[in-house]
Amino acid sequence: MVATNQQRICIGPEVPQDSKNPVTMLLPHPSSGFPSRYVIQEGQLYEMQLVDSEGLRSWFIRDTVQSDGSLYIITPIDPLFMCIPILDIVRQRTSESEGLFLGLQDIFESDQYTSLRNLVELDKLDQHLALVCDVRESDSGGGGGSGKRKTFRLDNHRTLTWLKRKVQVLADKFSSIPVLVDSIDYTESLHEICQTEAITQSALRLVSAYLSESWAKQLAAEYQFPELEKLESRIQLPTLLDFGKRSATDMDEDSKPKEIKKPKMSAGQRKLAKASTTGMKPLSSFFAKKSA
Amino acid sequence: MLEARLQTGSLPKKILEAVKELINDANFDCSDNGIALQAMDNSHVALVALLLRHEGFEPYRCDRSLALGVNLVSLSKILRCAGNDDIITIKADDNGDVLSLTFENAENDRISEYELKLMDIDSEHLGIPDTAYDAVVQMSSNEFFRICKDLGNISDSVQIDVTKEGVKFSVKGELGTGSVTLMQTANIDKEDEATLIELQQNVSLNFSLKYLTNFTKATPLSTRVSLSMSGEVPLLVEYKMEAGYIRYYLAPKIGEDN
Repeated sequence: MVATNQQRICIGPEVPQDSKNPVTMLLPHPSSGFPSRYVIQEGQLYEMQLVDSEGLRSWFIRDTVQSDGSLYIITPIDPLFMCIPILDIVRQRTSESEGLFLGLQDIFESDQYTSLRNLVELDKLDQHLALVCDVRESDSGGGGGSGKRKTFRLDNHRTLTWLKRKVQVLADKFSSIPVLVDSIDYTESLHEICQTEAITQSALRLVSAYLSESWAKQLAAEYQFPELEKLESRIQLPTLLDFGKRSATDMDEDSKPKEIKKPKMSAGQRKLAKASTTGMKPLSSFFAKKSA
Repeated sequence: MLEARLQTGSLPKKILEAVKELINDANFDCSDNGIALQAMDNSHVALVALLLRHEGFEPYRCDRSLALGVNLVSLSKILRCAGNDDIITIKADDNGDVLSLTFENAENDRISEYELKLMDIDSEHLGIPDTAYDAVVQMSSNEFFRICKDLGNISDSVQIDVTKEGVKFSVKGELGTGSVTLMQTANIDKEDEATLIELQQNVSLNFSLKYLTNFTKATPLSTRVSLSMSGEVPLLVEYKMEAGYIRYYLAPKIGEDN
């Protein structure tokens, strides 16, 4: 991918000494459709991400300085995330028909992204595809039993089941990944159900980052977060900005926004905020205002 | 320039505990009479008026009237650093933006100094006329505290009926009803616990218990409390101190006679 004299700093998978050179290629990103860089090595698919130095940073490598300060990160990605949008297009589903069954070669044939055909080389691709596709086997013809030709067609139901399973796996592992735990706005004090929902919601977001808009919508429709919604409508965690604000809220205003604006209230004031003041006239209607 | 010295740390601590539960920020208005504070709660249905007369301080000096805008939670945080037996000196310059507090402990020669940032507060002062109330009940502050606490478990609002026989606090809640009646002069031997009623006319008024409970945060300031009431005007709850008072006014609930 690069001229040999150029070196780069990269965090990637451990590669056995005798392995072949990795294949790198541009493929459409499953969510945005923009070309992104992927790597195939030893039958595994990896995505490559770049922490761009924007020309402002460089690396020290022993006694030398490398002017490109970018960091390349290569991490495994489940090939099905790449396949789903492709399968979605090639089956040519219409309102009347569930679409076409296609062989591997036909699926990964694209004029725009010729390197798509590299995906066929992935380990156990057919087994992966079977998780989200209807599969038909037919004799490859020509006798001799050299094997069967498999054809695939994306199945919405299976795909959603598989995606939900992904969300579940992520949610199960959630608490073991500190950066994820930090990323959600829940505190230990939250109700257990709320915590579970917050974790699932966060896992859903992560999975959806690898899905097209329509798939992300379909997947989101499978989930409800009743407790979280209740919580959000009832309280909003005060943000840092709120602490700087002080306002003279009038009695007539709704009590809910008032609570949000006054995060510094003492315990007694919070209790009073809940007190019903119906039938109570403001004191200024009893006592005349005096200029200070 | 303000300079005022208090012999016990416990007094300002108790005062702050009583006031900060009702209001966030307030101006301490300092004049040669002493230090006063008047502020309404967020809902503007309750008002607290505090007065610390200059006799309560030794010495007290205030050359020119000053309004010190203070966040009460912040001030109470600083006062928490003072021991109950510390001598507290507060100082403020005429145009300064801090209130400085010095806590001296004679016993272990410890001096701590703090400065609290002041803030500009637009305050609305209400002119409260001296009113002749239809009924004035003087009673034990602990008793009042207990009544508010007990009845607060049952309902949010309490009806107070005063007759020449006694004063009755009654509530109706979802779970049922409750009432406490205190007979006049029930306890002549123990002055602190006696219930005294001065009555021009029977009164029957409804008040928010949450607010009354809030006012009872001032209980440690005085063994006695007085409740002054007239039909359809704010209730006055007063705790008298040695050189001053803390007064709470609360608008009655009207149209809740059920």
